[in-house]
Amino acid sequence: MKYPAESYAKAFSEALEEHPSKKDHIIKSFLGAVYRNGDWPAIEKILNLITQKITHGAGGRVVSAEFARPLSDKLILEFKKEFSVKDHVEISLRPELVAGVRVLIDGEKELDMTLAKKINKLLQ
Amino acid sequence: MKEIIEKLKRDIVGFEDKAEFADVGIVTEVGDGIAKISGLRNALSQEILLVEASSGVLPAVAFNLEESSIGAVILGEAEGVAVGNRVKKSGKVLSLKAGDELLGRVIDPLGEPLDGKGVVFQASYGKDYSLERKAPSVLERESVSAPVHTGIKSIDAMIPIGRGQRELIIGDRQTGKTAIALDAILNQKQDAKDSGRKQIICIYVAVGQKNSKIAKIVKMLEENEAIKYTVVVSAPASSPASMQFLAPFAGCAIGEYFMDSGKDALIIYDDLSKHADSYRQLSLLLRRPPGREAYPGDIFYLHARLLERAAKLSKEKGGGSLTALPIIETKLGDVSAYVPTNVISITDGQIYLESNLFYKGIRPAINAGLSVSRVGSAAQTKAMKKVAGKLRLELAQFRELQAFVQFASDLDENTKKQIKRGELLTEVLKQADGEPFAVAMEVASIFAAINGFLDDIAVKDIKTFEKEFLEFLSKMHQKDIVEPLSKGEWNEKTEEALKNAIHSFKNMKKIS
Repeated sequence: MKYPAESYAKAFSEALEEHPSKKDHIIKSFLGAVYRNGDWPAIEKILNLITQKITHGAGGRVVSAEFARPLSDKLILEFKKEFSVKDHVEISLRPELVAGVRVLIDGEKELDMTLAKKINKLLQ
Repeated sequence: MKEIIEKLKRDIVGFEDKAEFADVGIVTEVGDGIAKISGLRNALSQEILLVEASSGVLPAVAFNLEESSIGAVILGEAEGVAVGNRVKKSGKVLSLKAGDELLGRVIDPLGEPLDGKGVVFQASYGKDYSLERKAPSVLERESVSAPVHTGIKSIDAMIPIGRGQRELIIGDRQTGKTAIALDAILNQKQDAKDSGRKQIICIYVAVGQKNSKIAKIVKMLEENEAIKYTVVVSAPASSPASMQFLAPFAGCAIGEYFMDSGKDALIIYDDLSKHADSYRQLSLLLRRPPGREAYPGDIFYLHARLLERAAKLSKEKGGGSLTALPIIETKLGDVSAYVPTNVISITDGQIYLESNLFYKGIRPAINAGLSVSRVGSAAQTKAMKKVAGKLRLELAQFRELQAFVQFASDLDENTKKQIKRGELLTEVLKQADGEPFAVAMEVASIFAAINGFLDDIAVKDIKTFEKEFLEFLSKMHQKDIVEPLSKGEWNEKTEEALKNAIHSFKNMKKIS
């Protein structure tokens, strides 16, 4: 990588803060800059960092919930209601968890209530 | 079958799993055995982290603690680790189990057996020893006072090593560095029996060596029954850089276990050049700034903190000792390279081996002029001190006159005599691989040479004479010469007996 992902995230969020009116232009130029610098393979990491930065800046938390089975729209809505509006909630599907849910908050704290974890623990 | 089902039932009924938040980290980058992990803010330096990879839970060591991430070195094969894998703290810093059961075993730097003889600790649990530990303080130490006899005449006479000393073995490739260290291991059994001192436990640490070489060494130790008091820590060239980096620390932790138990231990690091290379590899992959020869800035500290752990403990601390024999491989005899100069300055002396001497047939190829032992003479026995005092001087004079050997016919009698004596001494100090001498035999042999008793023997016949004479001594003069010399005693009576023995042997052989 030409520049670290953290630097991209910081530069982008600061630019957005300084010029809120040029939001579309900043996003377009930012993506162009990442591509030109040859750092496109790390775009996912950069976007995650930006999400984290913006969410934290607004006083929220980044919540990533992994379910073993697909959820109905109603259940998704109910799940999201458990968190504040400032929080950024992402939901993904991980069939290897067998059953249950695994919630990761800010990439640091995890609540694992999956059957896969229980089976692993039992077999240990 | 019923029992198994009952056991499983008990496990299931007694199973408890509370849902609670736990600290986790996420792998954000991975490659070349290095993982970058976000989260885990409270991780300790050198803490074992558990990576939940697709191939199972893999241990990794936290090396770089940065502001927002951790640089960790994955221990073992890192193929199953992917971005997004969860990482958990273990709460333990890197350590291994140490105990007497390690004797006779070949293990990897994490303490896992490699010799196919099953689990190491069967009767006991072993004691946890951290790979990184603070070296004993000044108050916990005492001066070196007992010798480590290597069984190599030139070393025991001119470059003596004491228990608790750090003596570097340095030289180019194929100059006999490992052979010296192995002779030192082989000699310990006989030496303990002869001298009545504590048996020295040996630890051989192979870093970045060929598997075939390690197998050969283990076989040799087994054949000579030296494996019984030896532990081999193996991190061959095929193992990951992380294992090669950890091997000397693992060996040192095992040595410390024996030292703390009041025993004497000898550790051989074969070799620290490859260890420095593995540390350079890890440091560059962790993006630490490179310094001279691309080694990281703390390469001196790395070797200093490792070698500083060799010590002779005070009586209050049990009186144990850990002697270190690090090996450094030079390139084209260049001792002024970065790592060799570092280790020379850390250790208490060096045994310098030269390719030229090796190819001339002088083996061990020790350069007596450049080799020194800064503290070992205090540990030399009285007998060895008495006979070896003049040896270094005579050899130094011989080296100065060596250039004139080709003009031998034009030289005066005195110079000719000195050259002859030098050649003779060089011949006496030659020794084959894997044939360490008992200390009494070393003393007798050097005494005969230095006092002119061998002057009337042709240089080519010296080895035969020496062999037969030493056999004669061990058969006919066990009580009056061999036993006191083995214990390091020297008095007029022993000296007289030795002189008489030489005369009677020469008369027997009809040498004037």
